[in-house]
Amino acid sequence: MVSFFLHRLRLALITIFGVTLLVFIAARLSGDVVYTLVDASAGQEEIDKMRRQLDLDKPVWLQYISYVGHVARGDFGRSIRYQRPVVEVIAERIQKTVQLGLAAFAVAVSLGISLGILAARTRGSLIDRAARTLAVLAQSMPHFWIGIMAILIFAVILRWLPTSGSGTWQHLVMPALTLATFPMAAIMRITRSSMLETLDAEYVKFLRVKGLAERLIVWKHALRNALIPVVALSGIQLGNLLGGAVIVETVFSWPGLGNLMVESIVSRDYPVIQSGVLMIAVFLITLNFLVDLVFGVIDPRIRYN
Amino acid sequence: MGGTSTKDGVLLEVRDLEMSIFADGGNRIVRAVNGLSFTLRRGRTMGIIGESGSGKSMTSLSILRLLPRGARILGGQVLFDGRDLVSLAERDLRRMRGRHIAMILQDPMVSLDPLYRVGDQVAEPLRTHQGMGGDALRARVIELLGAVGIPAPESRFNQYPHQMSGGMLQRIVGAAAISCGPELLIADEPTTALDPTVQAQYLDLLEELQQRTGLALIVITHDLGVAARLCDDVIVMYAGRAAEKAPVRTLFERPAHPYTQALLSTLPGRRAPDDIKVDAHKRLPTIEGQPPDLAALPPGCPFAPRCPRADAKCRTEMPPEVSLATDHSAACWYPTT
Ligand SMILES: Nc1ncnc2c1ncn2[C@@H]1O[C@H](COP(=O)(O)OP(=O)(O)OP(=O)(O)O)[C@@H](O)[C@H]1O
Ligand SMILES: [Mg+2]
Repeated sequence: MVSFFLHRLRLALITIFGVTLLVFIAARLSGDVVYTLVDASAGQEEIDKMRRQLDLDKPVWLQYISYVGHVARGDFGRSIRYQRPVVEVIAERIQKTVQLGLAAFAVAVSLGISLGILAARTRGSLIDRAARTLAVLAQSMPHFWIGIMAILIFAVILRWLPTSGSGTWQHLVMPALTLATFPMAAIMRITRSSMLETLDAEYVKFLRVKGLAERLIVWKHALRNALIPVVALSGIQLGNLLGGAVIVETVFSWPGLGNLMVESIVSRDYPVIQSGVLMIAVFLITLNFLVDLVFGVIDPRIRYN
Repeated sequence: MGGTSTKDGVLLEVRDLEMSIFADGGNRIVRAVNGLSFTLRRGRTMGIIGESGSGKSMTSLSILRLLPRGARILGGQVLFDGRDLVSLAERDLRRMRGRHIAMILQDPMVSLDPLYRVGDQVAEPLRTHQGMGGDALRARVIELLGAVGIPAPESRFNQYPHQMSGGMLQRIVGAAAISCGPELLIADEPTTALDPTVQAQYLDLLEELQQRTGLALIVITHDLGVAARLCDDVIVMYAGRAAEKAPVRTLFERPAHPYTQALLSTLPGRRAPDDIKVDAHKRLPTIEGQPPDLAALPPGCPFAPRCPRADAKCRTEMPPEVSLATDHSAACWYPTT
């Protein structure tokens, strides 16, 4: 078990190094922050001074080494745009994204799994067909389109919900549901097919031979088996939510991490971009690890190997 | 159950059972069981032999009314201790399954839920049918595991299926099946998944169980040796029908149906049932020609296309079951007498 953890940790560190290095270079290739900070009339001297101040006059590899050294000591630098420590800027925004992401994920998982089970148990019925059609629709509509339609209908026409911003639970409803549509549909579809497959399994037949009640067969045995691929997919979908959040946060002006990343890229706020990506990488790696732990809890074949 | 029937009374009577599977949304109708009848007395063993696809598994699943999707029982009766299982309410039937009628499925390797301890899975029928729980239940399960020949049952209780060999799983499945003391146990190909020493032990176990508890057995097998060794009576199935029904000795010594004769002729020499070796890895001998497609049965005798004795009548008219002696019948226009 310990060697397993060490192995995972080593892989995680390598991944993080790779990702940060890539972002470090890509951010600098995307354009020069100095020109966004000085007046258009500024002379070369002023530009060079600004560059020195920001430590951007050294070769990129030296900059990277110095960055890694600072991060290792817990210093993530200052935001060029906000003139505040990066940690503060990100901390404010990340709360909002966690709120949005968890709300969306909770909706996606609970509705996705229940609808999947319902569809599987009523296979071929009207409910089943309606659920499948909706899932295909939900998966083929892009987030920004769903978001704009939602704003149009529920905020502009019906005036039930605020168009954008954050603060009250009403502000959360549309962005969370918009973000939830895709993962919900994906989770529903895999739950349905996985459930159908387990219900046809030979061991389910043997449970019936033993005379067990149908409710025990479905909820104790079939569901637990059916959940294995659902857990794997849910982990992937939770990771994908971050990508969706960038768009949804922009559409609804939700002041989260996705929104911050877009702003920072536009204004070339290197320290924020770097730390934001670092956060996301750490989050995804932790997520993968947690998914593996959940597998171990569900499936003894994994626990014992 | 009805206490009026005697020890030697009839336990199971299947009458004109017909089951079809409506596959491909009803476009293909697989006539898996076509008017099967037989009688099984308490404590006796019935063998069902027949080539792959002849409807053996579908017959046993029809008895418990555990049909695959799209399958329907179209006619007939399954009288168990006088009650017709075909028309019994699902709830009442569920109470019979695992309690009065048990079954061991064809493949023990996939018969257990991989996510639960084997002990829990043996315990489930006792919990459901007898309301047992706690330490008494655990003790009873360990006793059952011991009874089916599992060494160190206390430690095996907590293992998962993937930690066990095929032979052990077979026994676990057996323990779950007999846990509530059923009057009837259906074993679908009890030996094909096992290696020879393990199968011999398993057959011993089935026999010992039967002697100890007096349960009746239906043994489905490809192996003429298993049939010869375990069974009192044998049904030879062909295309969802009984081609021939006979006490085991009669079947081996005086087979009447050309299909039975073809099967037996592949055995070296003319043998009494006691001489035939148990060899589960030898499948049922193959005879020339193809078995019929159950979704497109010919009008006459289903065996006619492969039968050396067939004439025009065989090809157009279905032969009825002809009684040749007590307990011996064949579905043939020209049975050997
Ligand atoms: N789910 C299903 N859908 C359609 N046809 C089926 C289905 N299950 C079984 N059948 C058909 O029903 C017929 C009888 O099958 P059954 O499983 O009873 O054969 P069997 O005698 O047990 O064969 P084996 O010795 O190979 O186990 C076969 O022709 C088979 O193709
Ligand atoms: Mg079979």
